[in-house]
Amino acid sequence: MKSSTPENKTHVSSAEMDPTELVERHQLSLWRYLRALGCDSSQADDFVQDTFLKIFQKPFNHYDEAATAAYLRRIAHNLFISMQRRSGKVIAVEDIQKFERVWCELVSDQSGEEYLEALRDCLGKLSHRSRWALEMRFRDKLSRTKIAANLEITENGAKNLMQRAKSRLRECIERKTKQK
Amino acid sequence: MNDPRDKILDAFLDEMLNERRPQKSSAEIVHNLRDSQASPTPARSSNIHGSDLDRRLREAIPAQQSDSSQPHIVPVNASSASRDSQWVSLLATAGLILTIMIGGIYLLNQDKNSSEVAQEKPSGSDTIAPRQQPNPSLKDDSAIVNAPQAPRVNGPEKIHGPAPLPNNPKTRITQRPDVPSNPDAPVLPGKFERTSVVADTPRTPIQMASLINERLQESWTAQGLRPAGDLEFRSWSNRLASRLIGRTLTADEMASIASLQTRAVSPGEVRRDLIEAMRAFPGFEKEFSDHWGKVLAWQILGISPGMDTKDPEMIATREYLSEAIANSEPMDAIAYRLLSAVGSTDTNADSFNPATNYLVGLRKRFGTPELSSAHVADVFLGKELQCLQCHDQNGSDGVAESEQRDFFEFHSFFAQLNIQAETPEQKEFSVTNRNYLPLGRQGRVEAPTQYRDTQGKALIAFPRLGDYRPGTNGFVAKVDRRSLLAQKIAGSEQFRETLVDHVWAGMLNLPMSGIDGNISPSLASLRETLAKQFAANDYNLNWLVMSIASCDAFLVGVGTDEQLSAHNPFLGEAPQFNIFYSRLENRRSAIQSLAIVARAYQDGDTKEATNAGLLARVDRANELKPNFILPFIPSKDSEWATSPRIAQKLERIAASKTLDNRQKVQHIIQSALGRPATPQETAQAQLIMQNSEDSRTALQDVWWSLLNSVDYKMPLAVR
Repeated sequence: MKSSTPENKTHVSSAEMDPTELVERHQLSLWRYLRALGCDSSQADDFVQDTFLKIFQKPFNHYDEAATAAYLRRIAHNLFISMQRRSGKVIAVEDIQKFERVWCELVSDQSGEEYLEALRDCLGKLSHRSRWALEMRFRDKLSRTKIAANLEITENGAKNLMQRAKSRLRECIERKTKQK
Repeated sequence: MNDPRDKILDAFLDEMLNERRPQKSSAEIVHNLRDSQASPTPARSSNIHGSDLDRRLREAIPAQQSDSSQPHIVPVNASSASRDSQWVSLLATAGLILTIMIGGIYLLNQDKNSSEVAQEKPSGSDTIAPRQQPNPSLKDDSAIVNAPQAPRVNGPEKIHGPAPLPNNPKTRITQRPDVPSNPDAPVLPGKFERTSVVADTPRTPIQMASLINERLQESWTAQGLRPAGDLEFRSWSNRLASRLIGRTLTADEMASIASLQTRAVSPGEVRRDLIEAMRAFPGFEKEFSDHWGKVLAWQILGISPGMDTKDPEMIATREYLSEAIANSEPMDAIAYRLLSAVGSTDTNADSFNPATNYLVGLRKRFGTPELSSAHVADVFLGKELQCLQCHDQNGSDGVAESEQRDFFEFHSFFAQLNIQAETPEQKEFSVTNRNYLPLGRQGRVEAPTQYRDTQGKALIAFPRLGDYRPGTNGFVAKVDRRSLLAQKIAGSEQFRETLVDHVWAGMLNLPMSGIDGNISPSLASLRETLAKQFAANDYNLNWLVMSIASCDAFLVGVGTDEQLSAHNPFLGEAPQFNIFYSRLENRRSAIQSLAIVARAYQDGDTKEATNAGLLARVDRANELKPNFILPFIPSKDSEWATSPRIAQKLERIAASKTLDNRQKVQHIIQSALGRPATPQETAQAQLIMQNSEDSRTALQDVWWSLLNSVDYKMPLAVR
């Protein structure tokens, strides 16, 4: 059992930490985590703020960065689920655990910068058509029908092209993150 | 749920390709959190995203704390542990089966009736056709029944129509597709007609203030309370400016009114002269309307004051209110237009109506039509209906005080409200009234709102507000429910009193009815009188603000701990306003304080920087009185910190040709903190200097932000 006497103190209370530093260190990763859960940009902003509000109200023990990040994710997750529940949506427990496990596996650097960097590299390695299809889907927010029309293929073809492109991206990113 | 890997990839792709980043900086978040704790008006209203700290603090009682850190898990096959509870479950199951059977029979009959009606009605112009959905993302969820809602991946939350009842395959009630009453020619807001006439003779603000003082004095005497001492002139001037125009006075403005205090006249006259002098400031009207537009927008949208938001509807509502206040429009007419608004939020549209931003903002903020309705009842009528969505509320004697039906009868007024996104990006919205025709009731004129009680029993409610029942028809041409409600609210006594409470809170930090609606009888009577006079003065906001600004409760200091403990409104007791209530606030470090001002300068928001300066004073005062902040208390400390001597020193440093910016800010930091500046502090202070056109003002703001901090050391002067 870990001792918490002043001589052998293994943790500090979050109340003793600089709030600005705490926010600076974890804001981006939390925001990305919430976005991956399904929040839009501004909603993620709100939940990030609410997460920090929670820990301002109820300080916790800081053991290390990873534990604190996990704790903050948990609070953010709960806030997100509460919102979902208010909207009448049900979240299955096993999916939540799976999501957390996959997140820890893929975003091992806490901030997500490594993942983003790997994604940038991998996107550059895709074929022009695949990249274009993804850009139309994610940047231009075009419907699958329009994407298919622009690529002069069928709707199913566009769907397959994007699925394959994403699958290649996933493999490439996971390879890169594992190497690191 | 999709594969998490896909969801993560999608989110990062979206972030990278659209160059998305968090919109709030870390400093902004910390600032907002602190401001939320320092909220000057503890709104009684609830809000979803939790900027109301009081409510959160109440929720965060130890017994419930563990919940917040536990995931919300949906129990699967949860078995009861005790035999008793097994019996209860068995009985409940039997009851449920019986209900389902009865419901099934009822619905079979209903379906039969419906099909008969449908058969009788040939398809033609009278047939209500499903509305064409040009884009799947704009599909109205209200028409979907029993479809599990998939988690949204990206994009703003959809605006929902009237929500169907909770899923239950045996007793489902589908909703008929909505029909716009006139889709090609949006109906512009109707003309407001004031129906209630107040017979009181209008009083001037000074006369009203005398009346308030008399009533307060009687109340204090009856309670055995004594008022705190009056604020000294300089502090009161700043308090007045912060409440009227949302900022502290500049050195020049302070100098221009300094002569008033030397006149040998009574404090009341000085006060009156000061208000008049302030009203004569150039740009006063605009600053007044901007400030009060913001304060009222915060209140009616349920946003904690100071909580910064970039929400476009919030900004548009604020601007709408500011403009209306600048035009001296009566507040009842403004309320009517906000609640009955139809049109588009798109400024380029022919049907553009800025008032629509309020209802759109409300729905976006609260997420569901039910919560939005509850908030309207709260902020316009002072009625807390939110809990009644789910259950009746019993008094201490066990007798129902309010019924679930009350909520749904109020909510029914909004059944015709239809908010839809106009573009796939969901940036602009249209607000219309549609004919409300719930399915399962075809062939009937009545269009009730359907809901379930705690036992799952399906019930209906028609629009009702107090004794007022506008009718049960769902056709807009027959009964325009929302406009009628707006008319009724704007002419109601409750509206007047609730608005008085909002403005009182905007001036004195607490509504007359305190945090929990706990109001003393004498103050309730005062509020009633003030509300009547407000109506007699054509619902003029300026009149109300000036009346409160002229009364004794606005002049008193923050009092002593003993005075506060005699009746502490923060512990739920009725406020008495014999002292000036302030909110508990944590203080910032020097670097945090400088970062806030630097950020404001970078954003070009010099007013925000000035506000940060205002907070600086508040925080500094907090240090002197550990438990509660004491804005602008008269003390040697605050006198010294705001004295002309300091201003002169700052000017001298600003004008120095031998010192560069870095040395100037280091000099100031060394003087204020009694230690050398850290590189971070120097960098932030330099940012302020670089982004300012006037180095003297910038140095003053640096000084204020340092005063704000816990690191500030009193005895050292600017050398």
